[in-house]
Amino acid sequence: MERRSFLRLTATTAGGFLLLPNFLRAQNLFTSGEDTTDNVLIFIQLNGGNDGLNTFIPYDNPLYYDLRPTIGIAKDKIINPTNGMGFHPALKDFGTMAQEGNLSVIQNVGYPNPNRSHFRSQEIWQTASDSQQFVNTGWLGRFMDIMCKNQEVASLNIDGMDNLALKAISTTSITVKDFNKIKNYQASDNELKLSDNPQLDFMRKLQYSSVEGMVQINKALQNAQNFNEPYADNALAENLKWMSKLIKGGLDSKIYYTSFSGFDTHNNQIQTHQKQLKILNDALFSFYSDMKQNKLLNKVTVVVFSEFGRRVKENGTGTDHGTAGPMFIIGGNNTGQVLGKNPDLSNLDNGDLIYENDFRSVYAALLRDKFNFNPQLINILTPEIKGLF
Amino acid sequence: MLTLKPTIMESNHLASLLLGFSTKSADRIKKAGISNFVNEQLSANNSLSMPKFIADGPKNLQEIGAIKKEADKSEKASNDVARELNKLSFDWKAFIIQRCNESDNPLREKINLFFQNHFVVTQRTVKVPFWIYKHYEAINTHSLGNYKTLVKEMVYSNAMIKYLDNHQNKKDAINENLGRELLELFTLGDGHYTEADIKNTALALAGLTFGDEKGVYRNATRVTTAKTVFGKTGIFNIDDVIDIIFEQANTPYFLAEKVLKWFFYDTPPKELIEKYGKLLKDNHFELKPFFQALFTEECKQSKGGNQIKNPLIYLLQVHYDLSLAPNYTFMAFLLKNQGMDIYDQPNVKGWKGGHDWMTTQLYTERNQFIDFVIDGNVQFEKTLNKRLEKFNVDSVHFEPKLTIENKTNAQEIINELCDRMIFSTNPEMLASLGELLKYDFDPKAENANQAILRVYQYLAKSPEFQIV
Repeated sequence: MERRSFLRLTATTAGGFLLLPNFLRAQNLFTSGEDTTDNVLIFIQLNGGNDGLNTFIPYDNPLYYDLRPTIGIAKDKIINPTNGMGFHPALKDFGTMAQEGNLSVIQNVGYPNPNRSHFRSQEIWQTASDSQQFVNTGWLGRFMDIMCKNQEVASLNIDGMDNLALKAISTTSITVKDFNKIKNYQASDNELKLSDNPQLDFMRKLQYSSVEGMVQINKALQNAQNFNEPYADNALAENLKWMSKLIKGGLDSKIYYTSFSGFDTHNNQIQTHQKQLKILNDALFSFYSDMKQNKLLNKVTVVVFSEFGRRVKENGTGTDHGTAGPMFIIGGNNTGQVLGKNPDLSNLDNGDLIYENDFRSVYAALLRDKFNFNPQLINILTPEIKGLF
Repeated sequence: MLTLKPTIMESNHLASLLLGFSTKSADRIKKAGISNFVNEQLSANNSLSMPKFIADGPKNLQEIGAIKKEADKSEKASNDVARELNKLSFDWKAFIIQRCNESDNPLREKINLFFQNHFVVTQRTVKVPFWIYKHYEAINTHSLGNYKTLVKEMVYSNAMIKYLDNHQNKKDAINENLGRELLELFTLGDGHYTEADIKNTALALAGLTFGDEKGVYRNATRVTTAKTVFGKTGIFNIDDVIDIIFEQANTPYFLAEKVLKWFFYDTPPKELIEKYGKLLKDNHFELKPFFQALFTEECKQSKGGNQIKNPLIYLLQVHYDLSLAPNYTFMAFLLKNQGMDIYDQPNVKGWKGGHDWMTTQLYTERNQFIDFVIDGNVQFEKTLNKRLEKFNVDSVHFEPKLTIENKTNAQEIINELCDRMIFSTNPEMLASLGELLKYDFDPKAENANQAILRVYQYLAKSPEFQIV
């Protein structure tokens, strides 16, 4: 199998270019044995503002039930109740992963002066900026500009459009909407009819093959064609399955990213949220089992987050936009702990939780532990959260 | 959530693209109405004056011969001449692109370019900038006159004589090249003539060679005996032969099909070829009424989506949309890479258009260009710089500025951009747009313009944007 060349690490600082020593070999993961520098991060962005309080639930706090008489989750249904906190019943496998010591929860993650606009808050999370600051590159994009200069496929995003978090100045982030289509387009040559417009069909076929780095992707998929672990039947699981194939097949991307929409539960929250969390649970557990079985779990770290949590007090059958919420870390040799205090429902800011852990402290820990990378190089100055890895 | 409904392109923007190179004329079309706009364009005096780099160069046969002698002296001299010609050829490409971009009569330039691609001559082969200029001048002068006259002008063009080797067509050594293309590519189309017709047309062309302004017959090399073309016999020169060609049935339909292809359809419907071919015939090959009716009627009923956008339209549209400062030499270079090398088609058949405009590679490069303009990709810049080294392009600097008329909220912004850019949107695309610019997007935020540019970027890279 092809060995990639050494990566040269360069960094832009206020003073100009800073050359760091070569230390990383971008080997393909599957043959890399115990080399711990070959880590991969996977991000699952929950779009719409996931209701953290109904995901990781403070079942022992009577205020929770007082403020959420309609949508509160009954104590006896909570999964893995421990130390006053437990998972939504749809997240039964989160319980398993936690018990196996491979799932950490970071509580009350947010940032100062929270913005309750989906658009703006996502932008803040994606650029790792302060609430009042505007940045045009993604935090992962800046990281890759330094770390992955010579990589052909620095990151892979499975989504309908590019993600700001991956926006870089010099590295290539690949966005692929649907891997099944890539496969179909290749197989069916010119026969596939997608619309009534032959010109458009022609362009759409080209669109898939014109994605830069498609050669590397196809090669990785080819390498991994004999792996066929079972996955749950939903779109998110499908995306994770493709990521798994690419990781096993030796694509040298460090970052994988996807988003999952439908968390803006202003009404009918009980049903909607149940459905969403079940998809999340099933998809993640499929991926987790796959990684575990193939002994890749220690190298692959999955990060689940949302742009904000939701208002503590319910509003009708749903909840309004809020602030802080939990983040979930799976795999990557995490400590398997719950970090941070249980949500303080009595001390609120305009009805919303006050954040305890800055999301950038999690980013910092991820970069430091997984890539031995100094987060200050990309202007993340918040100290790393302790105890995660 | 945003409620975005599938839309088709706003009709005046679509018409502007179909009749020009960008959506620049949309407001004019809206004010005047399509029929008046077409009439204005076709009635305007499309002025042309000789650019300095042509005027400064050799023009008459003596001067041109002198350069050739100079080049023959040594390898170095020959290389110097070649280098100078290469530079001039880029000046000329830039000149044409500038006219397309800046003209008040974009439709006229689009017609000119159509005929240039119909009567192909290339700088690469002709190697005399003044002849290239005269070729273009003849098109610009006659593109709305009688088609028969234009064909005669083209056959007498020094550039054409050189490009299709008619200077080597002499009574003792007949060269059929120009004769064949006159029938196959300029007037009738394959299958509408015999080999004997070609032979006799070539005989009529023998002796037609370079003159100072345009081609002239040399008595010593012409054929003065009788020729028979399409059943008619006489001591014909090429003007007589062209008159006979224009009596043949397929001539008007052949042109109508190519016009429909260039302006509207990669695959023109048969009934339209019939309709407009007949119109051209009924108008005795007068081009103006033919164009007037064709453009007006086709714009009125077009919904777009029938043609892969050629690289020139793609490039000028993006420049217009983002108010990019044009660097025409740079554009000529980009177009060359995109397979639309101005006045340097790959062969006598010209750019075929349609699927030929697009490959995986070309699409990737279009997208890289968009990313480069909006994000300033360092890698792409490096590659470009390297490839641009030998061209004299000066500096290229992009500062994209996107003007949105109604910036009230995400929905208005998305709708406006789709109206201007995309022939037809679909639910999948709209779902992505809704995620890209969420309903609670604040258009007044400090970096709102960056976010709107990302919407532009998404749309410009979509398959739909590659189609008009």
